[in-house]
Amino acid sequence: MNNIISVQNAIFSYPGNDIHVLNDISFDVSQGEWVAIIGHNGSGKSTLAKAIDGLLSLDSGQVVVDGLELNENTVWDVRSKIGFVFQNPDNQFVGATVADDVAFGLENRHVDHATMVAKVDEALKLVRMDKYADREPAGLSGGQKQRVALAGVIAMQPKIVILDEATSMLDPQGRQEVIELLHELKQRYKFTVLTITHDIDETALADRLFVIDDGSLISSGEPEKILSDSKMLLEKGLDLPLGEHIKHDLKELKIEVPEEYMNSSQVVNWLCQQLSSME
Amino acid sequence: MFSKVLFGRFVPTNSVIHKLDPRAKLVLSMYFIVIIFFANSWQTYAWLAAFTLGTILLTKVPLGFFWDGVRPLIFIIVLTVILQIFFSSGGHVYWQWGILSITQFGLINGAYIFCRFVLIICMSTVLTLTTQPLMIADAVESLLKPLTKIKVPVYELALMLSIALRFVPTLMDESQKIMNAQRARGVNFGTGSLWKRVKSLIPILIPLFISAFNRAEDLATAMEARGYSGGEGRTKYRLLHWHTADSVACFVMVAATIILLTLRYFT
Repeated sequence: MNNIISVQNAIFSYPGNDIHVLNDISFDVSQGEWVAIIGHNGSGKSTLAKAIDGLLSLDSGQVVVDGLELNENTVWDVRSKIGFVFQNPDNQFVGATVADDVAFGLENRHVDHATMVAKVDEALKLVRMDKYADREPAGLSGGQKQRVALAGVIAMQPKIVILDEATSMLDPQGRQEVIELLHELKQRYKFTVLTITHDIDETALADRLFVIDDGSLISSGEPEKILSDSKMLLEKGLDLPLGEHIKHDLKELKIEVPEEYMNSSQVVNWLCQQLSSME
Repeated sequence: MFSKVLFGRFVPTNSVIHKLDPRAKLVLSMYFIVIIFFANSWQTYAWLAAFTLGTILLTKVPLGFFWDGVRPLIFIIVLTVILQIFFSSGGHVYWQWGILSITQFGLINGAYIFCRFVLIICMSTVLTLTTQPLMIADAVESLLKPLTKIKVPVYELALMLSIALRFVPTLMDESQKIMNAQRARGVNFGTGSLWKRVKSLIPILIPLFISAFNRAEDLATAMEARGYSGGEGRTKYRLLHWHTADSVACFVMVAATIILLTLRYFT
């Protein structure tokens, strides 16, 4: 499969600061892949996402998106291939109403009025926010606002969707809604997904998981493999997923547990089995 | 309460006035404010008052909302009327003390000024009660469009206006949160001398400014990520449509002006 995102030896530091926020990072993402990036606060994961979208310019290194090398001349073309959902639902809501916000990206791309109306309607239906088209953002929940942000992304039909901690400010229900919606949309449009997250449970949906620490890629692989490496996760200041957390604590109590990754319901089943076999 | 004074309050009763094009409403209400100054007799004021009342009734908005529009300005109105009464001269003198006097003309002028104020406020309240702020922003953009020829950044200004309107509730929520947080730390708002009260605003304004700047930065990044590169050539999602009703409204206003001028010059 061809690489849709390719980052080579990316180095970045903020002006007036010697610390490399991105420290010689390299990786490829294939077309249609779902990649989750985890790392503790300040590990450089958001910076990485912004660098891919050309929102920051690297000190050195190269970013290639869908065959285009990112530079001053290609930055707008690169951005047109990427849909970005940011962390704070309020601070990315540009339009005065839901429909206006979805239309914002289309207006920037000089889409004519009739096409725009059709696309906004369609996108809002897909995220199930069509009933709210004329509402102002002040009356919406965080989850609803993020769904509108997703509609704004979908309307542009990007090849890549990047979510930069898009669910971290939502309540559990809103988080669930946004993640399920993303999953649904990905199956429909087959875009490539890059999610940057704090929420370990969210990563279980990914095809591949990157762990970033101090601006370097320290581990990458299937989520099951990485999430069962509780020692590494704890060392890097990350939370364990619920199932792994239980297993970790049981292990401390010298109880034998299976090595492979299990999600919470698998752990529940396993515990039930163990308990019933003890009787 | 602050937002009520600033932006009025849109009341969706879906009346004839609501359906008018915001450009028509904006221009006509400004035009009306100008022609109020042509009124110079009780007949002319009575005609304009009747016209305003007719418009108010057409909006189907309960009259209480118009009273809400006048109320915050009542102090200014009363002050101006009092100054007018005491300081203008002419006609029969009823009472005098130093430079202060109450004269016939003073009383008449006072009454006229009062009418003028109330009419202006009522007509602009008609505009804000029947038109969403966003629509007014659209109308301003559309009306200022010719200025793009002399390099006035009309599109950018209009976007700024619409973003400002969109963030008013967000920042209000924020200031409420900050006030509560400061109250929890023992700051007392709304008591003490004026100076003390002004000083107690500082712990609200500084965090509010910092957060507003952070929001602005996030918003700028989000806009850039969504392909915003200046107003030039952007298409518009919301279009304004001029209907027959808008032309009729303009015609009615012209007729009202003719009646006003007739009353002024021929009675």
